[in-house]
Amino acid sequence: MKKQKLLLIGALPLLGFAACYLVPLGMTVYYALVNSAFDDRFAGLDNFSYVMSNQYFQMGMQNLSLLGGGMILAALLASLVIAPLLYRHPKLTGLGMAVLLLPLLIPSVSAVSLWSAVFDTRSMLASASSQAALITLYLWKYAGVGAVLLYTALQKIPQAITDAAALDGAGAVRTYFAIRLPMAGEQLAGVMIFLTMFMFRCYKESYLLFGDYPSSKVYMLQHYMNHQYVKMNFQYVAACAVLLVLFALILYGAAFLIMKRRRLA
Amino acid sequence: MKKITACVLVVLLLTFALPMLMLFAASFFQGDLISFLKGETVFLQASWQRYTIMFDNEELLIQLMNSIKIALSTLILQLPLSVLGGLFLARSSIKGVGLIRVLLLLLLLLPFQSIMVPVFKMSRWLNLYDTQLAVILMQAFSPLGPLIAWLLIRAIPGEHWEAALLDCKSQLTIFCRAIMPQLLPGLAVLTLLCFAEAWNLVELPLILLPDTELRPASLMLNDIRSGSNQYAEAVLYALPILLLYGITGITLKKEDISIV
Repeated sequence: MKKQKLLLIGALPLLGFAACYLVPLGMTVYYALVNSAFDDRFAGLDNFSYVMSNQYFQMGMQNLSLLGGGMILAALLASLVIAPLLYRHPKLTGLGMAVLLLPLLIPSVSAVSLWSAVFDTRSMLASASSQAALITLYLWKYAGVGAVLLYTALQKIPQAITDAAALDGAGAVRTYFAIRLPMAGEQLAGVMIFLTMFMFRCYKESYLLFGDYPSSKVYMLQHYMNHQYVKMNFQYVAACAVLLVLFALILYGAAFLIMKRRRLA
Repeated sequence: MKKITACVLVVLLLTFALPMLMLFAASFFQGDLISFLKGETVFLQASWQRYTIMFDNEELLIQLMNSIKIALSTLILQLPLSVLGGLFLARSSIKGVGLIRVLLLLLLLLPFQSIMVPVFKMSRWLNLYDTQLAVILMQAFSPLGPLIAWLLIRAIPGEHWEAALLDCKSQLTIFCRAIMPQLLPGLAVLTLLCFAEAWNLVELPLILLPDTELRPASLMLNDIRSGSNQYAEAVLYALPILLLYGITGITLKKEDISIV
């Protein structure tokens, strides 16, 4: 197609995307560097030092890292277990994929109605069970997607390679860990990127489960940001957002680096 | 060994299916089935009543209508925009297209909170604050659609375009007549994903719709739950997604295409 025609085709969706997402991201950085949303004098790094010294920010960041890390790890392990089972039993694959992908689409508010009844999450005394509620809900919603993605990666590995390993006496487990998984390393990194994205989005479930004020065990950075937002401390929300973006970029960057290395290998 | 692993897989799949099954079962009982299963003394009786009395709850119906309005309007805007965006990303050789793709992916991966304040501010400047249109526009321009459409269009071999060019000069006609039919199964998945996203909105309406009367049920169902009816309401809210999921699955099966 001619360049001008293509530009015309892409103009509306891309301009809309820029206006709704890209420009706001740039504005977030701006707001993080000014005194407040109503006083645009340059504040340097004051907003960052304020939020980083705040105990609730620290608690939110710590929970996001530890709880989020735990959720990603648990989902990854579940995916690593389920994917080879799906591969081994082709008759169950169709049904299995349908069952595993469904939770991703189920509205969070529907799932939460069951989880809040099972874990009694509205009770202030249930801080230990609140962690369990969030982790199991995350596992249920997202581990299946990881498993299906990993399964599709396993499928792409040529059968001849694993047959050769079997001829050399390698069992199914050894073949999986020594051959299939290293070969699917790039896709595994891709699964980690997806799981990290869902971890950041898990605030949705957390908000629906525990409301605005959860127990300290599941208090996340996004809760702190929401509280500052309600107080109209937009400069602190923006500073947190910048730190959150940096944190996300480090995680995604690491995963992309692994992907690139695997691709080169 | 194979039988054991098959049993393990079936158990794991049942574990994934169990929450939905329990939700369905609980919605057909008078009395709390979940509390009963937790060992509490609860009087249980199978009944449809929860589904029939649910429709007397006017607040719930308003929130459901809000959800339908937002999700369908989003879908109507998002699908054509996604196809146009995907077509541009897949067919354009203009410098910087790669950067646009990276930016789309980056913004898809970042949490909504990273743009929360500017979105609030911009909606105020544009007089869109506290209107459902603000939520619809934000969702319609989400990076998810163009990225999926790009993947779908990219998968169509270049020879198909070239072969169609021999018969017809108009690019638009080629796209509509030769390429679009090949995209239809993929577009069914795109529709499902976009609808599921729009049906499951929480953070956007939380920031952009302070008026609770305008908020969708995905955000308000928690607050307006009328006690024992919560399971029936949860099932009702999941029903459109389940139906669409089933229809998409059947469509793909007919075309003999996997969902991933």
